Amino acid sequence: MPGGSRDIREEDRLDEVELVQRIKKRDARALNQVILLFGDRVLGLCEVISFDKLDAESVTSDVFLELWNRPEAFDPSRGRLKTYLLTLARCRSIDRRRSRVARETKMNEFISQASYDPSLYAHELTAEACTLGAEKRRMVDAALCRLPEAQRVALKLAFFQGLTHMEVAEKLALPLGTVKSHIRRGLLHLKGELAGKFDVGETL
Amino acid sequence: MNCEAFQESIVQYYLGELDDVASAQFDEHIAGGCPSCTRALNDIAAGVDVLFDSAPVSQLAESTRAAILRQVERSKSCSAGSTSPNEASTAAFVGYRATAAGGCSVAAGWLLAMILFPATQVGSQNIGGPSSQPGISSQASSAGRASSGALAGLERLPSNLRMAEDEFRTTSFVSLHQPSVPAGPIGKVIWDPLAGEIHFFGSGFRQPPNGMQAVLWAEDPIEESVLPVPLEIDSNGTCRAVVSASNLVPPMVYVTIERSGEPTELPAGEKLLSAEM
Repeated sequence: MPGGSRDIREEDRLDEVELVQRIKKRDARALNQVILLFGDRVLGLCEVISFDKLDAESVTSDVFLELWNRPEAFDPSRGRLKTYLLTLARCRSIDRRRSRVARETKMNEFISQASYDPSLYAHELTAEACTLGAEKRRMVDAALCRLPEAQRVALKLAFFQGLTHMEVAEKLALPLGTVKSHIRRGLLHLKGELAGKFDVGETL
Repeated sequence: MNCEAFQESIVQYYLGELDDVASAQFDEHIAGGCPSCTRALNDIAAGVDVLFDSAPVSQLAESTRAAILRQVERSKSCSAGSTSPNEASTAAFVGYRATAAGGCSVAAGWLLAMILFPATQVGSQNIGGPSSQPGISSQASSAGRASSGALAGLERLPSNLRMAEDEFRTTSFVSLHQPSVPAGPIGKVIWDPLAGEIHFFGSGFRQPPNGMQAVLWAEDPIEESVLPVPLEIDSNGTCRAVVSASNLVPPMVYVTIERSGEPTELPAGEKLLSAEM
């Protein structure tokens, strides 16, 4: 991928780039550190997407093993290690859920039955926010609150419940193009408001 | 496909939701250096980066982390096709461990205390104690801590590698010779994964009878080896030892009694731990 984001500060990335370099050299201690840094986040996302704790743990393991086996897939110019891992976690969780749903029920039934957890949209500070970059999370939550509701809901469904664009469109009974627009604009809004503003506190 | 059409689906591309054909078209387009689409893609990446700071967080179990690392270590071993640096120095103990593990009665005969690391984060924790059950509170654990002075050298552990106080979790405490003795804290263990060391700080010990020696053993579950370190118990009943822990999974730690290099039992009536425990 040519080019790089100017919005992501280079000093924030030094540690994570170094960690991945060490993983490329088969330094398992570096992987250990990555797991300690991001394991809770990866598992958290996997849990809400997969709706199955065992699946979530399994996918979490897969994510870190994939980093170990294919560290070159992480491209620092495309985003931070956290984002790479969570994107991978989202993708693998969707795959796992599809596989399970295909066995257990029809996808349409699943989408219609997917929990619409109000807490996902309340943007209240949770306990973990106090221990994990609370200020950063608060700012992101506040920025999400300021988004138009349609964008916020689409983003939450796509990223924190692991629905694809098509599934979001189906769930919200909106045209696919509209959902694409909501999600893209929502992300650009967040980027415009907050990207590059975090260079202290949380290092990775 | 023009840039406007690309950018309409750029989030799906970023998230890997496009089919192979469409994704390949994107790859080619971006690789071609289109500045507008490259900028748009970077903008989306930055937006996702921000959004994920609001993602749900759970708590990854230590056992899951350990399982990942075990798998990694196994893959390293397979790809290397050779023994680890530690293997030569610990080979003599592998057979011994196999003997002990193979026969519970043998192991039970000399095992004084077995300390398992917690199934949580790396860092430090207290050992033993009737209140040291899984989920022990931080207050209960802190009460039995070794003196902070002895631990000063280990305060360098980065905060993100320290175990939170409320994550203390112990384990089992076995005292075959003194089954009625309440199992109190016998010390503190700190696992320093960066230095690859286990630091043991014992307290409440008694001097072993003449000719006998207290020994700390750290059993490495990956290397399947154990390392013995003699425990020198001072007049205050404290002792400390450093054990190599080259791998990433916390070892099990045992304290045994030996006579002439062989694990043995204490004579009847003798105790290694103070009665107050």
